[in-house]
Amino acid sequence: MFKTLYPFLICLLFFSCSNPPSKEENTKEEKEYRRTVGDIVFDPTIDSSPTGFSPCNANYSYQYYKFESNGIKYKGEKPQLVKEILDAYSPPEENLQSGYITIRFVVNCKVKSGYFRMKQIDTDYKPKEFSSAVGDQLKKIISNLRGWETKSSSKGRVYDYHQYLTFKIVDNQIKSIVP
Amino acid sequence: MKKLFILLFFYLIATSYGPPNCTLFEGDCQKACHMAEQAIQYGQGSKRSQQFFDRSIELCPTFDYSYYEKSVPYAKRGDIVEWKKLIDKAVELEPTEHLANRGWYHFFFLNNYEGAIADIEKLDSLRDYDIGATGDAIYHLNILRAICYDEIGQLDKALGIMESQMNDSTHFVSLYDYICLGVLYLKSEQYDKAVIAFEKQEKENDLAENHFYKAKAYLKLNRISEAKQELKIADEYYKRNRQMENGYRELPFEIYQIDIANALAELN
Repeated sequence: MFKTLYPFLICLLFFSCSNPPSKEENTKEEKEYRRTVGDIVFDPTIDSSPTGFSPCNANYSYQYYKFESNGIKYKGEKPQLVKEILDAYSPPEENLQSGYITIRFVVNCKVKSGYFRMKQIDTDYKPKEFSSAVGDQLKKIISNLRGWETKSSSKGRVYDYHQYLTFKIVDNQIKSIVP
Repeated sequence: MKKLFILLFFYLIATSYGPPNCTLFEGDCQKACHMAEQAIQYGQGSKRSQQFFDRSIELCPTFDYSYYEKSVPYAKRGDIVEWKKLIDKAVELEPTEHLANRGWYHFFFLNNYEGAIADIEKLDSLRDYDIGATGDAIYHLNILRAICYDEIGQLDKALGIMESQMNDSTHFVSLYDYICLGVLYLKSEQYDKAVIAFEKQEKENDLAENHFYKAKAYLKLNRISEAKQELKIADEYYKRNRQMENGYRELPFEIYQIDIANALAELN
């Protein structure tokens, strides 16, 4: 029953993002927002890598969770993703730090990833800077992952999507990965 | 039972996303409430939606709903700093209304088990009635609390909370409750009780996971042929996408194809 209704819920999520009402009020000066919270847009100062990543559609990209599939779509599923990350990661033995590192990026319709952005916070969720031996190392590992898979609508149309990985770090060790 | 769950699910989705009854407010706060109603007509996290919430907050800085609802897309998209600022304000204004959500999100988006436990227990201390379920209605908050205690190594406490909740006559059995109960029994080496829990899960919502963990219990009970049979069912179910699932994240005790394959390989 639940599985039967799940595609319907996904459709609701899709349409809830694409059909704004026409009635609007513009009485106050408005804050600067992107099209939607979390949108990653091209930044020539950091996105001019030799990989030449570009989205398939610069105007349409959905969050990873707005599709009829689990949070992660990766070849070999999440265990393979975790294995690749843990195999590649060398935790520094000095300057032990704890907190969370979130790396956000776009996976395009050709399953190439790019536009990597990193946010780092301490255990109280306040911004902090991990040493580059932790943060930059993780960012590099994530940018080298090659197993991402496409996400598509219930009608089979493939979209670019925004994905993120949050690392729970305790004393430089990766304790868990969300989603 | 499952039909009832679906109805509850839709009820919670509908009520959790909508603002409170605006007629309960007066003056600018009523206008702020109507502004929030406008905000949720747009896609969650969209520019227009966030702008309407800003105006709502500007009109009535004590209107907690707008802080809460504006915070949600930040958490879903990995901006925890911004989420925390907003949800903390909502909790400060109406703790009994928003502690549940903040606690759930500590767990859901950060695996912060201690943070989740603290918020749920704070809520429990403030309420003299049922503390309710997570916003997606997947877990009663006491079951989520049990999962969190298990994650921080307090299995006995986790099992105590879990049993108490499941034995409560008012408890509404949700999608994965008996999987959670069964796995905790499995971890505490109470294999017969684990098998019974997985059989109950089979009746409520039959998935690859209950068969997979039932096989683990049978193995411990030295019932090898039954373990093999359960793993074959788990494998078949998994291939038909009949497993635990959530669009946002991996759920506690969720399994993968490789887990089944490894378990089968060990038996052959």
